[in-house]
Amino acid sequence: MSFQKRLASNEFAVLAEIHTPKGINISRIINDAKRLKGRIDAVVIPGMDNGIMRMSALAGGALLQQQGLEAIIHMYCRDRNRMALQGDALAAYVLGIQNIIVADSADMGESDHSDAKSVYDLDEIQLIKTLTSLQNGKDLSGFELDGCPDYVIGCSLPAFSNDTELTAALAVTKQKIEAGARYVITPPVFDVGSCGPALDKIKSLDVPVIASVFLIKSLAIAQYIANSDPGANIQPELISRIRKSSNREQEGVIIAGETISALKESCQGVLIQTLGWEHKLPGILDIAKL
Amino acid sequence: MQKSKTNQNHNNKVLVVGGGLGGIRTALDLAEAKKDVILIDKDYTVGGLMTQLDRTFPTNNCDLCTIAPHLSESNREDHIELLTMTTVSSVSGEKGNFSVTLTSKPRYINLEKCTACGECLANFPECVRFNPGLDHRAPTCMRYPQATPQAYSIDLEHCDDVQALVKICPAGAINLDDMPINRQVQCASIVLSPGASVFDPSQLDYLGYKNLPDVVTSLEYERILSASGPTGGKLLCPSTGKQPKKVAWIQCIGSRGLQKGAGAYCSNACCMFALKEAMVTKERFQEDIETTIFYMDMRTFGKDYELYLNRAKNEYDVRFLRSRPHSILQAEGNTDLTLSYTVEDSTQQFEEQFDMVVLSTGFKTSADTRLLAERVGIELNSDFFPITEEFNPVVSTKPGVYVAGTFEGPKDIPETMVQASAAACLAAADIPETVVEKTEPEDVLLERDVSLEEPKVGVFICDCGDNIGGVVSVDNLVAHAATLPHVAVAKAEGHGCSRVSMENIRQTIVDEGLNRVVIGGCSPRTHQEKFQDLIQKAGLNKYLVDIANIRDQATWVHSGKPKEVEEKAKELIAMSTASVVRAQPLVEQTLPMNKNVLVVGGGVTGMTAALNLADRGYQIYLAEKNDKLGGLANQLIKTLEGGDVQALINGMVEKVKGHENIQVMTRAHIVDHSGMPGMFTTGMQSGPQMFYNQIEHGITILATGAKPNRPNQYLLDKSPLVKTQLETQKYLFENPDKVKGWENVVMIQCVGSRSEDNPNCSRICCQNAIKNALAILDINPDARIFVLYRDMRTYAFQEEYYQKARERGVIFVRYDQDKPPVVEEAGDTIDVTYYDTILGMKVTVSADNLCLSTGMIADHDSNEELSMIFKLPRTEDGYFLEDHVKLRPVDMPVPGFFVAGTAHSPKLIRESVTQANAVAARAQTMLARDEISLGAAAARVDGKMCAACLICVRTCPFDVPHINADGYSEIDPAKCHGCGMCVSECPAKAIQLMQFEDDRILAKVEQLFERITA
Repeated sequence: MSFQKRLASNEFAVLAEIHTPKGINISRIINDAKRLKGRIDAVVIPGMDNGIMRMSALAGGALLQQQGLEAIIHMYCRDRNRMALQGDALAAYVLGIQNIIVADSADMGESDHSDAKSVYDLDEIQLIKTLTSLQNGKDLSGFELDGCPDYVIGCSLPAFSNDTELTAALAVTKQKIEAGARYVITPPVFDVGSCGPALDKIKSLDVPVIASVFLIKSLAIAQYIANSDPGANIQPELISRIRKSSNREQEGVIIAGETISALKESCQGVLIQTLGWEHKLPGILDIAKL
Repeated sequence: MQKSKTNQNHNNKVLVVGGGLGGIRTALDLAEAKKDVILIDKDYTVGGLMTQLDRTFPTNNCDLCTIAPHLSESNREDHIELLTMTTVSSVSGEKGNFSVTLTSKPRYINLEKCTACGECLANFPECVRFNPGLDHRAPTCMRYPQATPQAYSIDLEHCDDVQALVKICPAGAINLDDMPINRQVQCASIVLSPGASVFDPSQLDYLGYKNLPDVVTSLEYERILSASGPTGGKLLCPSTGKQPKKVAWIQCIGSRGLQKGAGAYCSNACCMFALKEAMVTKERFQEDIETTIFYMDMRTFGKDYELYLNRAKNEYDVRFLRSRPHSILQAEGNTDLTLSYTVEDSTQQFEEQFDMVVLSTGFKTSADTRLLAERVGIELNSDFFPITEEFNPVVSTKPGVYVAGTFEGPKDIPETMVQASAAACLAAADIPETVVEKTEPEDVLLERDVSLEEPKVGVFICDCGDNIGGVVSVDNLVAHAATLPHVAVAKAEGHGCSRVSMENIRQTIVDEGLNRVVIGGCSPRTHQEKFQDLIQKAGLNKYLVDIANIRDQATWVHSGKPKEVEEKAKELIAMSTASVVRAQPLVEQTLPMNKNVLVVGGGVTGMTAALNLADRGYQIYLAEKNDKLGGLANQLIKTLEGGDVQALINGMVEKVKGHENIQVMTRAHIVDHSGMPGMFTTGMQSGPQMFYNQIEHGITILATGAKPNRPNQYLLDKSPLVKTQLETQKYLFENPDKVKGWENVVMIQCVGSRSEDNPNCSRICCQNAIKNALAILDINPDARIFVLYRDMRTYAFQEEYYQKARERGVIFVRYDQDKPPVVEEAGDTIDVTYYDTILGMKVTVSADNLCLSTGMIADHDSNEELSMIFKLPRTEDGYFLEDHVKLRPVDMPVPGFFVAGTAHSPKLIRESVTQANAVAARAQTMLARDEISLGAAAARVDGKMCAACLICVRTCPFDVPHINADGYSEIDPAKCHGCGMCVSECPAKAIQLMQFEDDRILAKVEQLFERITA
């Protein structure tokens, strides 16, 4: 079943993130994709929105479509102006990619090319409007298109660490939905027990909510996230569970799988983020019984 | 008569002066990194001071056999030219191009001919030199049996009948025409590690050293304990020849400015030295001997040394008296020695009798080394040790000249090894880049094809001095071995690893046409490679030798049961023989070496190592878990000596960031790791994005540092007046006006160290306290500073700052661990109450500021995770544990991994920089190789027996086996890790692990059980 149909029929959708290489070696991405075929609904291919220069999401998405997987690519506003964005969106459709997530961009200062120029010709809401406009057969200047694309547009909920920030994040997201986004992806959920109230508020946006689930690879990573991102809400119990484990790699896999299981009832789907450990995805899905 | 292997007229080499442990390490590191070395020593054999030691701390092992194989000839010597009895006469030129005149004294022995048979010594003992000359009364003894060069030296001055001496030599090696030789050599850099002398206590008549035979120095005591010493290892009083019942050690003889002619510094190693001697003594005689150490401060500040001290106290029952006996007296007609002393908490004078007194004599520079320094042109400090760069103790005042070991300053063996490697690294960097001339390919000895020959085994059995020969009759073992099937030759070989024996064995293999060899000797772990090389030189495949470890497994462990030992040794030899008969020639697989280096940790240590290797052209990946480089040093301002830490850090960070060969990754966390030495793959997540990438590298350097400790004690974090020493230093520099108002300052030492939770000493805190105390007095000379300490551990030249602090009025008060100071808030001050042992009462000081010396602890979480990912061992307190605490202090037990800086144990910046340079040198010994050897242990499938059941395919943890086009399992030997899992799982027994084939193992087992049932 396609991702679009899953969403429409209110069924639980399973997405996995696969990154394009920094370079031209595509053997990993192809192997990882092959391993996932039939086990997930679609693959999310982020672009350079996190600030790491790498092969574009467009090429990655096309590759995965060729492998027979449904691809969802990121589009974002920091690196391209409105012409480049529209051109890429049309190209994506022609290459078989109908799913686009309009993602927020990391600050250029945080990127691995910190001297690069930021563009921000459009903001994310305008980009979503632009994609909607293309679907309606017109470009941003109002010129008619020769054949118009059709997209399922998603958007990301900005990270938040308290209620005030959540309210602000919801306000922005609401605008994105009004502009044409049809589902929303949350920041990573580490503590399902305590995320209920926030999830309820997000669900009040009235679009399907896909929760991100992040694979914790090591104690150091768990501690790093706990220290650098208070909104992640990593509990001391989780840290000590990882510390005590004799096989931390596997513990991370189990934790991710359990988190997915726990989210089945409260979300419309999950996006599993394994950041380079895509070979662990089947194991996570096994634990989650998916 | 020393042949020249290096081109004398070319400056692309390093001159290493001093063939002690340090000089040898430097030379070997350079040689393994394919740099040419001239190693000179003024003595007639190399080995220096360590070869005179019996056991070494903290393992109490005799490490001679770990180092001895390196001292004798090996294939590495392709790059080393060894000149003994040689000194430096003059030096001209500059860094990159020195011209040095070397003068060699005549030995009157042809090294090529001398077999060290000992005839000359037996007949003309007065003419032959072999005694290290340290033991002023000891009977003569060979320095150590595996000496290099293995040859005697003739002292013509003491020889009356020269012609008779010449005739006695069966080898005709005595050459009376030998002349002093002057030679001119060119070199790019010079490493000076001529060592130090020990203080001579004979001028101090109150110690009676000159007249009382039972008063000995610690080095003499070591000789008395040593199996190769004058008493053959029996501990006997020199005067009576009886076993002593009470032995005392007196510390700080010739150190800490205490006696006439003593150095002002602390000699660093003597406390551990005395502890070791006391413990070894206790080990020998248990309840039958009493050991007492008279000391001022026990300075066990090294890695895990505090645990050693605790063992001496708690397990060995060594008695410790904090006291300095004034004199050693002997009543007329008595043999025992009387020490009179007082103790801290009493005014009473005690007298006690001892059978032997050991003077823990410190290090002193000698006239020889001062002359050397003058000739080379380096400046010395007031203690006559070299003046060195403030953050780099191996760099002398003359560019291109490096110093290491006890010549640089008093130190123990591990630190000597570290400095030696560090000096090698820096000296190698001075060698001008030249096009390497293609040398003629070496005569590759063709391996003899033995496949069609009947097994013809040679059994060579070592006596290893008394280690084997003292427990069993080697002749009996030889006679028995000769009766075993296929044995063609059985021989006793003395020290099999000595040069002469090695040559004998090689010659026997060739002459007798042997095709298998068994060595009855010591551990394959230390000696297998050496004997493999040997049989290769004899034209045999290196896998046709087997070592029966009759020393570790028989004579050492069952030394009290000579009959059973002999039986067991015979069995071990028979098992090896049965096994070697089935040995087949094997080929080793090789893969190209990846020359990239991963440095984990971007503090001073990591950056220093990275810069060194990047400058040599290697690609470096520097992973730092914080968001900026610099590590703990970011929090430091000045060193004790006044060095500007921030300037150092800023300079380094700039260089690292700008270096084209260094890729820096901050906020980087290592998450996975695979591969083998020379071709590792490590995955990490870095930056705020947690970007995952994998790095391919051949070498990993751990420079992960340590954390400043912050124990919840003495109101830390509860009162603003309580600070750590780190915070204090910052405060002093930022708020001098406030410091001017301080009346009383109290410092408490050992906070969170030397305690139950954290038993080790943090090493840096004593000098930190002195540093801050002096800085406070600079700002506010009227401040009263109290330092509450347990032992002041201002080792080496730090002692002079300690003296200075005392002179300037800092009050040092000792406290006991079980009577710690009590700290209370009292408005604007902190009341510190302590028990003053001298006054015998409690004293309260109202302090304006309380500084806690909190030291360092290992970052447990981070080190534990890295040790899990990299599969590396750690110490109990969480630091990385090196391969050999004495001789390989920066190598990890997993090849390809090195450790430096505070990841190894707490240390100062200077010491961390030295270790960083040392790992760079050690890394280069591996990076100089172009390929990695995978060994011959790989699984091999017999296609005819394979049923293609796929069990091996599923079992292999590395996914190596696959079913080939012919329908059976195939294992690529280049990919096989040789773990043997498929071998044990294969139901058809179609897979064999080469080098460990079933028939060889079974042959051993059968041999063993046959003998038991028989």
